Amino acid sequence: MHGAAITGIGEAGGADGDGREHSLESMIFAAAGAALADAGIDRDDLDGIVIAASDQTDGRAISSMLTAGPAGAYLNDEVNVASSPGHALAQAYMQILAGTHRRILVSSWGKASESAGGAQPAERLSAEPFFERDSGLSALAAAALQAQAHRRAAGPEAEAAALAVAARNRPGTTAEQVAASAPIATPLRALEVPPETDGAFSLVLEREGDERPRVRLAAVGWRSDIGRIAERRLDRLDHLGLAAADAYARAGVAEARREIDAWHLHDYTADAELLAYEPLRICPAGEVLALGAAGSAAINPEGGSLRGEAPFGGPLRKALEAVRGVRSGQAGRAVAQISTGFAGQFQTVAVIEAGR
Amino acid sequence: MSAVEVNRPVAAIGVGQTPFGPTHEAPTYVEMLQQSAAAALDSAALGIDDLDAVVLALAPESLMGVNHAERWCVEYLAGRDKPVMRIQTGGATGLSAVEAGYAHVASGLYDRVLVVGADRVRESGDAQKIFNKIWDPFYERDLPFTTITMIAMSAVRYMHNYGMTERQMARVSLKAHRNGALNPNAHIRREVTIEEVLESRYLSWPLKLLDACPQSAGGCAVVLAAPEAVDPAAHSPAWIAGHSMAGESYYIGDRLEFSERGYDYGDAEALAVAAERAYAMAGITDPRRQIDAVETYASFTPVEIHNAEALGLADLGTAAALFEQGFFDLDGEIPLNPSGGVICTNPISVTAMVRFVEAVLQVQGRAGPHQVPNARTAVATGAGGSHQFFNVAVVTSEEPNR
Amino acid sequence: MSSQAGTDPFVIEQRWDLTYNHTADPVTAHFLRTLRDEGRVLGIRCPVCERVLVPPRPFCDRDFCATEGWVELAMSGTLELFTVMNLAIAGLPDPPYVLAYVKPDGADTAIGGFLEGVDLSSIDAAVAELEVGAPVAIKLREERRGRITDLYFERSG
Repeated sequence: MHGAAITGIGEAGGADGDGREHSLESMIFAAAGAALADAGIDRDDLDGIVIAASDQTDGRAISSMLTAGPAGAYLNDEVNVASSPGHALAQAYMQILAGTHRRILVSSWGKASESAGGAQPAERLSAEPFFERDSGLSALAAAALQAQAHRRAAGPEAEAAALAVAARNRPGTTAEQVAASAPIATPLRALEVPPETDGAFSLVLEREGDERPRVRLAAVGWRSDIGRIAERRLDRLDHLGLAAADAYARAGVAEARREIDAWHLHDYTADAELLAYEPLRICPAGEVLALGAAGSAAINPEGGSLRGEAPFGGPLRKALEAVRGVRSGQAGRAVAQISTGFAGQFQTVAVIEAGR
Repeated sequence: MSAVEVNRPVAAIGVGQTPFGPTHEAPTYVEMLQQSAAAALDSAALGIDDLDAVVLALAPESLMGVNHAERWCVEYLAGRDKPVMRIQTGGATGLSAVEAGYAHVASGLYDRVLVVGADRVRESGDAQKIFNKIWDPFYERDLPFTTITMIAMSAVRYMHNYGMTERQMARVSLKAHRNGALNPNAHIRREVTIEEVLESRYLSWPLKLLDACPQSAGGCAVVLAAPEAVDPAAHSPAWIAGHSMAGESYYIGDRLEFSERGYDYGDAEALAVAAERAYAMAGITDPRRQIDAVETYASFTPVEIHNAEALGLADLGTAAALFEQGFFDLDGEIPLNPSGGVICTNPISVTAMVRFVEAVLQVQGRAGPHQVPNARTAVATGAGGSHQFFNVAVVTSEEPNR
Repeated sequence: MSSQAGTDPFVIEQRWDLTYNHTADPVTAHFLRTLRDEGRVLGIRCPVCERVLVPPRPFCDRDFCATEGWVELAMSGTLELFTVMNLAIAGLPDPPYVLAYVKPDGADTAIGGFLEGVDLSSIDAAVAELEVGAPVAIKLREERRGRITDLYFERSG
């Protein structure tokens, strides 16, 4: 079995360096090109392209027709893993392990400015059509129901912990400001959900050779919950725990709390971050609220998604953050959590570490 | 791709299809998934709890009407707490999903993986209205292009280059319908004459109604397994000896100069690229001798003609005449689409997976009335996008050399 | 109690109503503005393969590099692909109509548009008069909106 190194990362926002607006395609091209430059390789050195594209987020009924090219796919092997950017990372990881590919460019993106009303109108159409869609269920409503379930289960201190997380993950914001922001879907307030932004993110994965890589993709694990909100255990993320167990076993991590130095968690709400602590084994269940209230330099050290996040592909940034932390020496081993779907239905855990 | 050093081989140990037909007669989307999965699990002598992971094949979900419908599906595939991912590469989706399942198993991470999908192409009313929304919003969507005009223009180019006639296209349709009439799962199961094809109305010149695929509903599933999970007593494994995908430029207007291979938009260059890689992986050096049966994704008759060339079964510009001579008939030299192919059945999300499943059935000797005698190596292909994404899988009855 | 009363399908309608505001990259924006405001058709060069690309885009997917250098194209070109569309599709124009790709003189690629001025009362007669390689004029609408349909094609010569 081959190992995987991460040799390049790149990202782009809604405008280029001169402030000129990107199209969706030119934003992807910018991120992909930056990752290749970072890896010091050319597009022709790649033997695989893996993307995660969301058709209705992008407003292109088969997005990859238009987006695979700027992601480097011309006459190359290519696949679009449309359920999650985390799954795209997992697919590329498996292709390296399988031995079918040596160098893969992984990309995902979201461009909130592309659609009227941002990503929410399209997201809403993923509600099941016979029972749930007509009830007005949306990604925001599902996140609010999850936050409510969490606070009910965790007790009266949960709200203060959530406010503290939200303030920390939005640098420059105080818990009081979060608490004073307008309610948008109770119990969530405006500053407890990420503003939607434009962004594209790319990583270069390479088969490990004889040379020791600076950064390794030690493992990826991914698990799912069901879609129907009424049947979900909204106050728990058991499937995240299973995804973490897969990733830790594959990476040889025995005691996550001791062996992992940085946690890049997907805080699509502050409650979602708190719900991740126990299944990722950052701390035991009884310590979650205290850790959330006190904070930790190891958790979302760059700030969180609450600073702003591109729809669908945006959480791929967690993997880029983990690579940056390992490269800088701030972390020997880091975890990136990526989720998609209502209330974190699809969970991916990547373990990214310094080469040994 | 010379760097391929496969960690471990991958076998298909179970396949399942629903009968395909019009959308209004089909069960709901999730029921079709379940029926396909159950059929594949039955043929693999496994239960759903034996599965380690699930790959969902779902092409543009705007056809069946639920955005990111993978979220809906998890519950219906016993996917709670399992690894589940969804693949979408347009018409190539069904085979891309098999390729993703291959990676699951070959990586060593999973021993038994379900690849499953379904579609209800007319759920949205008119698929071609959606197929206008696939084009570049600035340059091409207003025109209005569709997948029909896309292939009509490829056919015009091929006619210009090689003199293909509408009568030669009709011969492909005759063969497709003759084979489809033998396939109990096919959507269209009636034979047609060349005159009937020629007299059917134009959709977009030179394509006529009987040159075209139907809009189908139905489901398909495959269970892929590691060698360690193959039970000789229960399974008749079909091995994935090679596979690859290649994507062309999106821009059709960029594909009008002859390439170094001698291809232009009348052909399918990326299919040739994908085939070269898949054949290299599978050790196929002489496709005309080594391949016994082919299931190729051709939603219109002229595509089947140029696909035969891109797959190395005929020289450029010669395939149309070979079809007329019966070379690709069920009793011909290299049977092409013995199942009737996409001309008889097109449930888009799984169309390319059906190609794979039919290839598996051929090398297992289980294809029934449309069996190619003694088939040991079969090829399946997918196609998607702006005649853009092409994938190829080589399926063998023998386990590939390790 | 019958769990499945009758065999008629039970159908509900769900509508998707999504509106997008697609932002053009600077290259596409310049092309569409120039087409609308000045009635000129521009291509852009790939610095590696040196093809003049039309419609112009900010990068060459083959060489994976940024494009640079505008080229004004002639209002004439070559018919490369065409079809007579004869199928009615909800939300699209009433058939028949001719769609074509034309390579403008001075460009290395072709751009799509309507081919107008063809008598479509008989499809067979119409296509008998159309041929890959035929000369074509690139025409402009009187009122232009910054959409690709501001240009169209007619046979010439």
